[in-house]
Amino acid sequence: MKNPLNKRLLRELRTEFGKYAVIFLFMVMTIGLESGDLVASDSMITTCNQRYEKYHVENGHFHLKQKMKDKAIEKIEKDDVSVYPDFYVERSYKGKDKKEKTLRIYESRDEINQLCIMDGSLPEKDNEIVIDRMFADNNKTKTGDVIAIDGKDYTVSGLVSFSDYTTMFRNNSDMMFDSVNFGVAMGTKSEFESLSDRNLTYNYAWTYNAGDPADDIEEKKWSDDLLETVVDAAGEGGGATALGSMLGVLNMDNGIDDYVPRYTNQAMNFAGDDLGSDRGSMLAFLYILIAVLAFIFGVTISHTITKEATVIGTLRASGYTRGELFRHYISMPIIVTLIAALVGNVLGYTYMKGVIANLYYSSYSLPKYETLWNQQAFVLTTVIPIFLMLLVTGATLARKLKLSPLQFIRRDLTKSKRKKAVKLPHFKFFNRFRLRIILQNISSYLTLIFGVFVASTILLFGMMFVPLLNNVSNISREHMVAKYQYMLKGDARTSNKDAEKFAVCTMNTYVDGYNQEAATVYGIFDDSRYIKDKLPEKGAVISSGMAEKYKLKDGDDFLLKEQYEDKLIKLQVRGILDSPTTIGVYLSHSYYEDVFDVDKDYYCAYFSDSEITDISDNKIFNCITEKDMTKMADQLKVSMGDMFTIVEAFAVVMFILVVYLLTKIILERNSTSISMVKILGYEDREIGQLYLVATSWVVLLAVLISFALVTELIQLIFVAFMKGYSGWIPFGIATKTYVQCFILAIVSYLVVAAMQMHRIKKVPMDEALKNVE
Amino acid sequence: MFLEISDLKKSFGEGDSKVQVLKGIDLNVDKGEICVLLGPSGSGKSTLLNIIGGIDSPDSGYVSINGEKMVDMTEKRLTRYRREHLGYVFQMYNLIPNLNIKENIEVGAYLSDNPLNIDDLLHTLGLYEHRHKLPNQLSGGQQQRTSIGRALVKNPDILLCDEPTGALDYSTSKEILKLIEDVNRKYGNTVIMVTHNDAIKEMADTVVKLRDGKIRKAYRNENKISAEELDW
Repeated sequence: MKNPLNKRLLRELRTEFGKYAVIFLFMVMTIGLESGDLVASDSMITTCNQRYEKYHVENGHFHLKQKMKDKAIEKIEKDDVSVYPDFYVERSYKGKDKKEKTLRIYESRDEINQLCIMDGSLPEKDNEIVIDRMFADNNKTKTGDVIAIDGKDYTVSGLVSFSDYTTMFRNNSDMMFDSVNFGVAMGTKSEFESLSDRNLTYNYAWTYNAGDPADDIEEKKWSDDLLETVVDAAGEGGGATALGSMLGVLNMDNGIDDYVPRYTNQAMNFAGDDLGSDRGSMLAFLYILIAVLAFIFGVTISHTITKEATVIGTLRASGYTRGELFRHYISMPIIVTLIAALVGNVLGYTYMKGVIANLYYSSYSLPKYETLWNQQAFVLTTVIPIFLMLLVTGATLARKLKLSPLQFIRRDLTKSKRKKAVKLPHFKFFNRFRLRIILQNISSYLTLIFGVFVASTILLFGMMFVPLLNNVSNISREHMVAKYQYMLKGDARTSNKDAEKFAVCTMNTYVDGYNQEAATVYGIFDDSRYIKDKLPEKGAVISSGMAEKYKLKDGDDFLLKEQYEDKLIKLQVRGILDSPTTIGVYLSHSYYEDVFDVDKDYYCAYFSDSEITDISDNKIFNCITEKDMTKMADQLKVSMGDMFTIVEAFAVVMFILVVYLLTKIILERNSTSISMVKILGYEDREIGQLYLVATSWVVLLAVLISFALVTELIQLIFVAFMKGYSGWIPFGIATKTYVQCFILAIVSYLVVAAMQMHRIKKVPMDEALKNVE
Repeated sequence: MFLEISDLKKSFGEGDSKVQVLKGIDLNVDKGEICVLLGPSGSGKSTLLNIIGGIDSPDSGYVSINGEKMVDMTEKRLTRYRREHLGYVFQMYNLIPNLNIKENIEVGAYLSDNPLNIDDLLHTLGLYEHRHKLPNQLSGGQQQRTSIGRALVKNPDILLCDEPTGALDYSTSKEILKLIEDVNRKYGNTVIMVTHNDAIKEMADTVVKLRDGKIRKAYRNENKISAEELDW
């Protein structure tokens, strides 16, 4: 015979449909989102990894100032590599947003770094061009649109994903990619010839004939060995200089402009590294939400057991075992979780996968992916949530069911001996009443505080980013040393009175034996107009961003490593320059001379507050303007904007859910008392003041305490998150954000309070007069 | 002897507030008889019933059923003992509100390998027409019948009734007592009934009067009358 108690489950579901439906939908949403994320990211990671072979992606590339002769190529290829010319030109045009866009147009690619066609077809005529899909999306460009470059109209014949550009890093040393203003494109071979009269970059890609290196260490060794050959060969073929010219990309003489092995190529690796990088935090997020729901179930179960104490006592007295009752009461949370997990997974594989994939596609230029069955995702989103639910509700239930049958029959449900009523101060009657309600429902309120804390964390996290990024843009702008920083390819004179020479190179920060990220090292002449701080004769002044990120303070030593060599430089911090968003090291020129062994007058860059117009473009390696400084924040806003909205909506739903379910339990537990005070003559409004104001106090307090704690927590998460990125964003939550979050939380609460007021009105007066059944 | 109780003592509380509820109870009950435990509030009758039912334990002394002492039983064994041998009826019916009448009785049947036929029992209880109703659709008497049905359906050796008519009016109380008497006759269960209603003793085979934790009087009722004839 089946346990007749099971028949209650369906009826319980019917009578408490609202509650279970809300929990179920919330779980489905969360698990669906998580499952979709795992499926989409894993499928994409696989696609990303397979693209190397599928699209014959390079193992690295280097730029030369001149075209290499065949003899030089042969020399390099003796190192068991294949070298492919992969030239490009850069052109600017005005986008639909009236801003200047840069297109890097490649020569037709047949052999190396092939393209994945996302829409349309490859160009067949000279007036046709394919452009990167994401750059096109960001600029509202579709297949068939016409874009004018240098006065010539090109029809976009298709949208593509370049296998070597999953993210639009214009330079490998850039802090952040910029898929709004920079894109890659490809035209026909003949059209490329006509475009290659200016701004042509002699880019050569290589592949190892022996196949891909086993890991980064082997790759580094191979690429370091190859570099020597390339420098040597380029010297013969293109007039390159010694290996010393490889010191950063900025201070080169003739020869190699750039040398990027695959493992250091941000455009190629950034997306792959980022895909699934949030897996840990997403899963933690899922499990915290399941834990919150489990606690809600725990409180519900606890309430049910109190309500059904005499029935449980009778059943136990009749011979029902604890195990049978445990299984009965735990069935509902487990069934709800199980079905939610299954539906969530179906949703994950169908709809949510697409939502997440679109989020990735809005950040990265990824090739088409195939959905792969993901066993691990199923376990992580089904088995673990069920286990968590079992653990939390099981612990509550086991503790509750430990009581003897007699205790249940007598409703003597506290294990400890009857406590005396807590003595309260001489508050007004209503306030004492409210405090009693809080004390009576302390476990519900603790769960409510926990839920509000989690919801506030998510809410604040979702709402803080846009103001933070706006603030970062402002800070970056305010702290710019000069409006323009021109990096030169060699000696270049100017008559611009604002221009001030300085030396600069790029080094890598070096912590615990690992290369970290690019740091710009400046050599500043005395009496600088732009760096007003007095620089020490020996030692370095570092940017406040660097100091914060690497926890450096005055007197600390730190290491810098040359980008393509093993040479380490040890410097001492002698001051901090207020520049919160950069990783910069400022040396006096005399000290720069000592450290880098350059001449007394050596310079390779200009600061200037006005545009320098008398230096030709081919002498300028790069120019950093305000736009470059705010690029990181702007790109984050574009690629993560949708995510923030989802997170905010999620937080509000969660907030309402937690507060609604727990206040509902509190009111149900007190329905007899509510009925009784109605009989005594209290009005609904007064009862609301008693029961809802108590909850309002707790919610208000929980929100405010959460803000303080959450700020600390988010800062920890944020700092850990930023350490994985190049550059630095100083953490800070705007006061406005707190106010917005607070208002949103209170409005959400008022919605719940209105619903619960309705519930209070519905409590009948005969409730207090009814018997147990 | 089917049920044997020997020198049973039980106290609650500690120190100054310690109250001895049972002060050495000796009692024997034969199989199939109705035993009524009478006494005022606080006399210890419910505590005695709970100890017999295995949901409370004595400080000293023992209860043995069919020669098996309950003090020697582990908790697991006690649960099994209750499952196999006992049926409980309380003053408050303690029915499961979202199960209908038949299903509430099935809750009892589930515990037995050889339960009685539920439909037959529903007829006996006079509840067959109401079997699909929920408890709150029935009167107090009908609910108590259901709780008796739930206890009886597993055909227990002993039916323990704690003030089964305490919440009922005169005529409903008589109906319930008649039902208990009928099932005792029909199924041969031993019935131990706690009540403070002195009139009920007339339907018992054995009457035990308790006061202040002691048996004041215990006797076999030679002039037993049927429940229908009871009056108070």
